[in-house]
Amino acid sequence: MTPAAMLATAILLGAFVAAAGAYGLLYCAARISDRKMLRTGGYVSYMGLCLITLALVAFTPLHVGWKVFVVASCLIYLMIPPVTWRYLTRLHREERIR
Amino acid sequence: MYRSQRLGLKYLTASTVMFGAMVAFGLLSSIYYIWPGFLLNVFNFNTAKIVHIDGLVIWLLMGFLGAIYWFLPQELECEVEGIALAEILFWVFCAAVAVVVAVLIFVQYGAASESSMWFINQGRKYVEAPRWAALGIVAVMGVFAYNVIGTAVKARKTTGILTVLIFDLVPLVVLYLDAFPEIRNMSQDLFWWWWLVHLWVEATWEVLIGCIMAWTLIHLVSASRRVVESWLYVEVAMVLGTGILGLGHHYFFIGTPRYWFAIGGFFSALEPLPLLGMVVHAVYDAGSNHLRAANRPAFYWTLAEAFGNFIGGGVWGFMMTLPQINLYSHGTQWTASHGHFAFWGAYGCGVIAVLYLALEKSRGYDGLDSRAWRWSFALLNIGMLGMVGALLVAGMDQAFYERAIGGSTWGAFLAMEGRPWFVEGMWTRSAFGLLFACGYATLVYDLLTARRPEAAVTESMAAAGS
Amino acid sequence: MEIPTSGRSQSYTQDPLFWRAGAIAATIFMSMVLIALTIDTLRQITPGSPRVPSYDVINNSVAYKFDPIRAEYVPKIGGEELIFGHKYSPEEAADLIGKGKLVIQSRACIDCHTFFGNGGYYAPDLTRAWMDPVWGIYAGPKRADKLANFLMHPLRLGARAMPDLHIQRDEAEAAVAYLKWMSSVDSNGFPDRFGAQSAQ
Repeated sequence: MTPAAMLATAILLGAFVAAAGAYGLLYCAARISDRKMLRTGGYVSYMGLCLITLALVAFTPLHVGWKVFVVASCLIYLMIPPVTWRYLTRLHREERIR
Repeated sequence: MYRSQRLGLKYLTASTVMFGAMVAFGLLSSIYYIWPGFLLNVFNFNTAKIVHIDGLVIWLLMGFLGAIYWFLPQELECEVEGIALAEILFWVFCAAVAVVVAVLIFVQYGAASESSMWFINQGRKYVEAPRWAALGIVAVMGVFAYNVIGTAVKARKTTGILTVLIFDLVPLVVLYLDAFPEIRNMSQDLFWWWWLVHLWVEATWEVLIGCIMAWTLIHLVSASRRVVESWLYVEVAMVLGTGILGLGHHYFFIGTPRYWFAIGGFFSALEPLPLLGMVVHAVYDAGSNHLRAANRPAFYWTLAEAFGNFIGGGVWGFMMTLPQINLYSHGTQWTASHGHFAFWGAYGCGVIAVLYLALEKSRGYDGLDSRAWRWSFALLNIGMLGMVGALLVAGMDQAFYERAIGGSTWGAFLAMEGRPWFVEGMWTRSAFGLLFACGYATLVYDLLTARRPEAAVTESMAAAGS
Repeated sequence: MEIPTSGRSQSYTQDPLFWRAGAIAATIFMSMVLIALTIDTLRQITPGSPRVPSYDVINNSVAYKFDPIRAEYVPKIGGEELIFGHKYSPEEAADLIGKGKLVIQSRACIDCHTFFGNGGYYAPDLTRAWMDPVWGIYAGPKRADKLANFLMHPLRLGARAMPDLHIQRDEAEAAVAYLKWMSSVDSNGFPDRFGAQSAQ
C-alpha cells in the first residue's frame, strides 16, 4: 500500500475502535440517566462506527479477509454494550434478591 | 493491621519511589532527543532508557505485590504464611534494585563476557538487570507465591478471586525464566522474549490487575463478591482467549513463519472487544454509585484504569496491529506512543487506585478527598495524553517518511531527525513529560499530606472564613 | 470456595461457573494451540532452515531484493564473499556469531537500536545494516572492515550520535559478522523498500 494509504487506514482503524468506545460509553450513560441527548449521542456514535466501517471496506487496500473481520466487528460492537449491561443488571438483581 | 498489610504498605511506598525514578529517567531520556550530543559518552541514552523501562517493570511489580500483601489477609481472615521471610525479602529486593541502578549509572556496560551478563547488564530490553538480580527477583516471586498459596492452605479455604490469582501466579513466575538465557539466534531470542513480555503485560498481568481491581471494588464501593467474581471469570475468559494467541502480533517480522500474520493479526484485533466490556462495567459501577464513593481518588483512578486500558491498549493498539500497517509502524515512536498509553491505562492507574485505598484504610479514615488529588489526576492524565499524542504524531511522521518512503536506511533515519513534525513531537513530548512529572510530585504531596475528610473540610472552611 | 446455589432456573450465562469453565477452557485451548505453533515455529527458525540461514552464510554475499512472486523484499544469498580475510567453518561461524550476540547484549545495543524492529527507537534499525547504502558501496571484505572500524571509532553523524562503547577489534568483528548473518534472515519483508530509494 502507498504511504498515504497506510496512514489513512491506520487512522481509520483507530477511529473505528474509538467510535465503538464512544457508543459503549454513551449507551451506558443513557441507561443510567435516561437523557435523550445521551441516547442520541449513542446512536450517532454507532452511525459513525458504521461509516468508518464503510470507509475501511470501500477505500482502504486491506485484504478482503480483514474487511470481513471489520464488518463482523462492527456488528459485534453493536451487541457488546447492551449484552454486557443486561448481564450486569441481572447479576446485581439476583445478588440483591439473595 | 496484619503484618502482611504493613508489608503491603512498604511495597506500595517502594513502588511510589520507583515510579518517581521511572519518571526522572524518562524525562532524562527525552532530553537526548532534543539536545544533540547530550551526555554523549558520559551517560548514554541506552542506559537512561534502561533505568526508565526497568523502573516501569519494578514499580508496577512492587505495586502488585503491595496490593496483594494488603488484600490477602483480609481475604482469608488470617495472617499470611511465611510473612517473616517475605519481610526480609522486601529489603533484599529494594537493596538489589538500588545496586542494579547504581551499577547501571556508574559502570553502565562491560566487555562481551559472561561476567558482564552476571554482574553488569544483560542488554535485553526490560530484563537488562544482571543475572544475579534476576535470580533475586525469582526468589522474591517464589516467596511471594509461597506466601499466597501457603496462606490459602493454612486457612484451609480459598475464594474465587484468590483461586484465579493462584493459577495466574504459575505462568507469571515461570515466564520470568526468559530473563536469564543468552540466545545466539536473534529470531529465537525475540520469540521467547515476547513470551515473557506479551504473556506478562497482555495476559498474566491483565489477570493479576483484574484480581486486584476485583478486591479494590469490594473494599471501595462494597461491591458484591459474587458479582466481581463472575465478572472476573468473564474478563479472564475474554482476555486470555484473545491475548494468548494475540502474542502472534509480535511475530510478524522477526523471522518467524507467515502464518503469524493471520493468527496474530486476528486475535490481536479481537483484544479490544473485552476492553469495551470493561468500559461498560466501569460505567455501570460509576452509575450505580452515582459517581460517588467515600474514597474519591481511588474511585476515579479505578475509572481511569478502565478507560485508559481501552484507549491506550484498544484504540492505539488497533491502529497499528494489522500486519500491513505494522510493517511501517514497527519500531518507531508510534510504538512508544502505544506502549506508554497502554501501560499507563492498564496498570499505572490501577496501582495508584490501590495506593489511595490502602492509604485510607491503613489510617482508619472513612473516605478520602482533597484538592491535591484532583490536580495530580489532571496533571498526570493530561501529561500522559500530551506525551502519547506527541509521540503519535512523531511516530506517524517517522513511519511515513523513514519507513515507507525512506526504506528504513541510515540515510532515511538521518533525514528523519530534522523533520519538523518529528522535532516538534519530541519537544512536545518533553514538555508534557514535565507536566506528568509535576503530576507525580503532586501525587506524592497528596499521599504524604492526606488527612481525614472531615479534617480537610474543617480546614477549608477555616481557610475560607479567615 | 463459594458455590452459588441456583434454586431457580436461570440462563446459564448468568451462572459464574459457566464463565469459570469458559475461562479454563479458553486458556487451555489457546495455550495448546500456542504450544503447537511454537514447536513448528522453532523448527522453522533454526539456523539452516529456509527462513534462517546457517551461521556460515557470513562467507557468502547477502543482498536484499524485491521478489515479484512474494511481492515483498527478500534476502538473497549469493556466491562467496568473505569477511576479514577468512573463510569460517560452520563451527567457527557459530562461535563468532555467539560472540557477536554477547557484544550486542553487553553494550545493550537493543536499547538504542532495533533488531527486526524490536528495541529502542533512538537509533536506526539494524536488521539490514550490513546492506545499508552507506556501506553497500564497498565490496564485502572492505565493507566488513569499514563497519568494524565504525564500531570501534564511531563517527559523529546527525543529532543522535553513536557513542564510543570501547568495542575492541575482536568484538567489532564479531558484531559485524552478527549483522551480516542477521541481514540474511527472512523477516517477511521488513524493513520494506530498504535501499530502494538509493537505488533509484
